[in-house]
Amino acid sequence: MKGLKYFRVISVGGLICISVAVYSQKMVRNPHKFTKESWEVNEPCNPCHVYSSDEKSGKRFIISYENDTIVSPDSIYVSGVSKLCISCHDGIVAGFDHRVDIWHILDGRSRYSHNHPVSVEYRAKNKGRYRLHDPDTTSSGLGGTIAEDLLVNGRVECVSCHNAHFSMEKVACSTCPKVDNINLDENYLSLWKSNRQSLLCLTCHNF
Amino acid sequence: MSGKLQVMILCLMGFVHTVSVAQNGNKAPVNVGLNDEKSVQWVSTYPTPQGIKTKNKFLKKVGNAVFGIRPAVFIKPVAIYADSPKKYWVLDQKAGSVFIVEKEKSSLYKLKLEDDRPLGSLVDICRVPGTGLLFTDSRLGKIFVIRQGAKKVTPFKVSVNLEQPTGIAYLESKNEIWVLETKAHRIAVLSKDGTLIRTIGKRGIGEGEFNYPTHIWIDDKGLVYIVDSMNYRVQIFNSDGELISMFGEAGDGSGYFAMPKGIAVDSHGNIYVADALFHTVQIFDSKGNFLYNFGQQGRNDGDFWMPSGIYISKDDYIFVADSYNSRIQVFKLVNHE
Ligand code: HEC
Ligand code: HEC
Ligand code: HEC
Ligand code: HEC
Repeated sequence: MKGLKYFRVISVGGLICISVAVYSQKMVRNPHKFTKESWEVNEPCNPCHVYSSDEKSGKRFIISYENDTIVSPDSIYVSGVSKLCISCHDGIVAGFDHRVDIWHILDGRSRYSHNHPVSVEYRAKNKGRYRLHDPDTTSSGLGGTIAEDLLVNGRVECVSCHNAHFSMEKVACSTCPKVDNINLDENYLSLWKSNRQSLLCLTCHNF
Repeated sequence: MSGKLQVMILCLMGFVHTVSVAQNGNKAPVNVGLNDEKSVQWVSTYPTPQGIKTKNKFLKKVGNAVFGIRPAVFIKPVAIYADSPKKYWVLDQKAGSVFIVEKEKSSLYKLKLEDDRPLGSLVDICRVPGTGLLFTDSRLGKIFVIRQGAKKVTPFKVSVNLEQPTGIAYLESKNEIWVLETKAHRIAVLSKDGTLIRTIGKRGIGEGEFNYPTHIWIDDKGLVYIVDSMNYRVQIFNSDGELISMFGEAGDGSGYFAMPKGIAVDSHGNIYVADALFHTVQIFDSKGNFLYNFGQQGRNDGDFWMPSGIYISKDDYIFVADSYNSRIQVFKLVNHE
């Protein structure tokens, strides 16, 4: 995933815009908006982005996992950007990480049924179970290919399925990079796309 | 073989799993963090890598044959309470259970709820004299108690509904139990019988206000240290709940916080804060000046992978829940003076 894809996503046009308009009223909250009232002007992106302490004045925008060069050798370890998510979704700050107990929706809404690997390499596969489309040629439906839009350094991470900037309100933060509103689905949390009829799963999988 | 392996099969009522553990060999102590007067030495890791391997092979056989169960190992330990390095309790959030680690017996017991219900999301543990060990479950919104001599865990009745209880500690001088309600951004102060005495704080960035407070430590003098995680700071209160001081801010350098978790204070009054995203434990003096840190991301002795809970015993043994390495690491503070 290189950079943010919102602008592209928004340009997908009609359909999404309509659904945003229709559902925007239902969007009552953004769970990742930790800043409120008096401290809104502070640093609204604080939870996930910190400023490099050396150059505070320059406000270099970084993500805490940036220096993560250790690649997880097996699935017990969470690496990369997913660490950021899991550091809060640890049952202490926020609800559970489901790296281990993923709320899987193959079809319908059965929860706790399976584990989805996170921090795993994505390799195209057209044999056996859980076949996977070619990431470099298959469209993600978000404007680019799977590799461009959903993978981080060729790996599946939390942000492969979840949009970390879900309905992030346009912030009055002059020093932060701009993020446009995006609201892809009304009640499917912060998924990149609806998982109705397993749409999300079938983006990558060809079971 | 560097570790001496002892296997004990205990058939005790109420103990669900008993597991063999390799004891540590006589490795030389390694300094992992130091300044002029003091150093932190790595003492041991539990379970040892050899322990896990042997345990799995052996107990899979025995366990399956005798009990029809699989052996228990830590999955994601998050908090520790220690009487001594020889005996300590570990909360394992993913296993949903409390383990007692007794080095001498080399065994590990798994406790269960009275009605065999699974625990939801364990966070923190403390001892309340005369009552037992209390621990919080953030998902069930409850406190549980392991009473002296009991084989099972029972709920601890609280007069109010707690909103996502996390950090918990006992204030000896006043006989009070202090619990953090992370989602309500406040401290709930309870009497020993579970009655709410008062709450402290609300959401905000001001003094004495909180933004997702998660971990707590109460020292010998009755000072209360709170990790105010999303404000990236530590706030220190006296036992009346008045703010005394605070320190810390978000950043990526030494002495800053990225994702502060467990907190504990040693016998010199220095403050230890585990940081899950820095994979380290940072040590501050009582005024909040950064002194030094120990540990970095990795899997070797003294390394961490997203540590969370931390506990320091009276004799300055430091226990760190090395959560994503699925182990507990024990360190010792050594004085050079
Ligand atoms: C829930 C956590 C979270 C919050 C809150 C958050 N971000 Fe992000 N942000 C991320 C993650 C994770 C990435 C990396 C995504 C990726 O690699 O695909 C990212 C990437 C970015 C990038 C692209 C950087 C790059 O090098 O690709 C920008 C710009 C950005 N965020 C801006 C913001 C702004 C502005 C805010 C506050 C309004 C904000 N973010 C709040 C998690 C968050
Ligand atoms: C700073 C802490 C923090 C970080 C980092 C963080 N989250 Fe969250 N997240 C929260 C909180 C708090 C909520 C509100 C729900 C709760 O308390 O469980 C939430 C809610 C969510 C929800 C919606 C759940 C719901 O009930 O609506 C999703 C999905 C989610 N987070 C995914 C992520 C992903 C993916 C990342 C990494 C890019 C991430 N989070 C990083 C704290 C965090
Ligand atoms: C393969 C896709 C996928 C990946 C990878 C993934 N998730 Fe999810 N996640 C989902 C789906 C689908 C849901 C919706 C569940 C529902 O609607 O019940 C969900 C729901 C959630 C929720 C809300 C759960 C609830 O019941 O409130 C949180 C929080 C969350 N995910 C966090 C994470 C974190 C943290 C990671 C990385 C460790 C992650 N997810 C990785 C697909 C994924
Ligand atoms: C971003 C691409 C992507 C998406 C979206 C995705 N998966 Fe996966 N999935 C993968 C990859 C990569 C693997 C690992 C394959 C391997 O082991 O090599 C995987 C593995 C699996 C496995 C096998 C797990 C195991 O233990 O071996 C299952 C089951 C699965 N996915 C189900 C789902 C479901 C259900 C969804 C929708 C919620 C989903 N996936 C969405 C990429 C994805």
